[in-house]
Amino acid sequence: MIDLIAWFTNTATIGGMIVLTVFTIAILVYVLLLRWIHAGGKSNAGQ
Amino acid sequence: MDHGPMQRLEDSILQPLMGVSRRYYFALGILSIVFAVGAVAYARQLMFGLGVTGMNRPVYWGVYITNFVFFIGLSHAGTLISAILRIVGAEWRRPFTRAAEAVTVFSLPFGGGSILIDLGRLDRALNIVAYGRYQSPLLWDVTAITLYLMSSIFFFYIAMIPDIALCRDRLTEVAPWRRWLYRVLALGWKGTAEERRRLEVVMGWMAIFLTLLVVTVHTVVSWIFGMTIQPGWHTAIIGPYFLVGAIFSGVAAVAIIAALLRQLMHWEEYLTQTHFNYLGQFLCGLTLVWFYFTFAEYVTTVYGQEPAHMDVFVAKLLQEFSLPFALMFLLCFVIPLPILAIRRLRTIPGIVIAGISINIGMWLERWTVIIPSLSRPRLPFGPGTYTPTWTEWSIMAACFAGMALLYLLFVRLFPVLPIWEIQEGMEKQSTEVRTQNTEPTAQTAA
Repeated sequence: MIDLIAWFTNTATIGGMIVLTVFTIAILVYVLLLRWIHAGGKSNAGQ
Repeated sequence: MDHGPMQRLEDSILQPLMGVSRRYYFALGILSIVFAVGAVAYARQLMFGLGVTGMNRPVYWGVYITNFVFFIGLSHAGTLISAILRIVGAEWRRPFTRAAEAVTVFSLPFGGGSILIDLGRLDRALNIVAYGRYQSPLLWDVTAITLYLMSSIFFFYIAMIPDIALCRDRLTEVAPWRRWLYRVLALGWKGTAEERRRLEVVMGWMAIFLTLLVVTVHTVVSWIFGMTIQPGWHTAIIGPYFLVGAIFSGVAAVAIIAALLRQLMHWEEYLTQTHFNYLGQFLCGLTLVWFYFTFAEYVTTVYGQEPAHMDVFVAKLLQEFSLPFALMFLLCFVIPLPILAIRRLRTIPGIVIAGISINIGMWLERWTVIIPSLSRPRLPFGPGTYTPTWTEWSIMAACFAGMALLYLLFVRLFPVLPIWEIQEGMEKQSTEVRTQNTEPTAQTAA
């Protein structure tokens, strides 16, 4: 736990944080886009 | 609308998914053997360390980093043909898009993987997250390449959803695990107008994003070299030069694969001579752009006469690197240019010969960028030498075999030509013909 806190507060490791943040955001966006495309089938079926 | 050609298109493209020939298994077997030999060589490298390679001081990068740059370059094919040509509305791209996107998705793991192989100890890869410092271009590379891989897989996948749904509905007699796979990956696709509209919107935005990413990725790859003050690397042109080379080899690879598919699957109706003619013209333009950058790079070096840079240049032109350097020029420019520029020579076999020549030449280009600069460092070292060992050649062969294996497995499981995109093109063409036919009638009536 202490190691994790030290890692978060250590500015020298900001690179790792940036890499992880970029990947997390990208995965999230792509999952949401897939859900949006999938929802298109339902919205049309209801019309 | 006549549905005959549409049905024929579906039947023809789905046919290879129902059964394959002995030749397929034979190719699979050969590639698996090559891959296994490379895996053994890699296991040996893991056991005994990087000492089993030819890398040394000062030549600390060799075949692996050459492969890294080459595979990343190859991966630009998908984005260029699919994304950029989609943005500019080039209709001839339609049959090539998926084959090109597959090149991206299957070459990127071997590009990124080459870095891990070069790293020696795999556990050190985790240091990127633990101790990553954003001042280093290496970390820019990790971010850009991984984001590019994720985005390419996403783009590749969403463009396949309508065709996977078609497989789900049409291929009802295949193995249960494949039916399950199609059902899951089809994401409940019903083919409604709203679904299609949303898919087109996402693909349009992704095409723009991927185009920006492709420029970023290869520029950042070049900066691993360009941000050092190593002679031959420290030049502002290295970013665009690498990018052009990447697109050049990527498009050439797609030309080879498309010609192979046309020949093996008998898809002459969908991959026509006209499509290849456009691809050949495009490749011809890229050949000229590549030559322009190469000329600009070397003429600047020679004119400046800066001693450290001239040492590298002389090593390439007259000393131990003269053979790969001359071969690079021959294979990237002298051989492909007349084939691609002269209409009579720009046939499908001609384009394949040019494509093979360009890809071998581009691998040599990466080699002559990396090794000569390392062998003439700005250090009191004296000229370095580098001779790759069988371990490096085996691992390199395994990377190429691995990429081909993934491609073969993909061709067996999914439609390699984008059925829905080709159908969309056919519908568009038939609407245009109908409009042209009705216009004169309307004018006469008026």
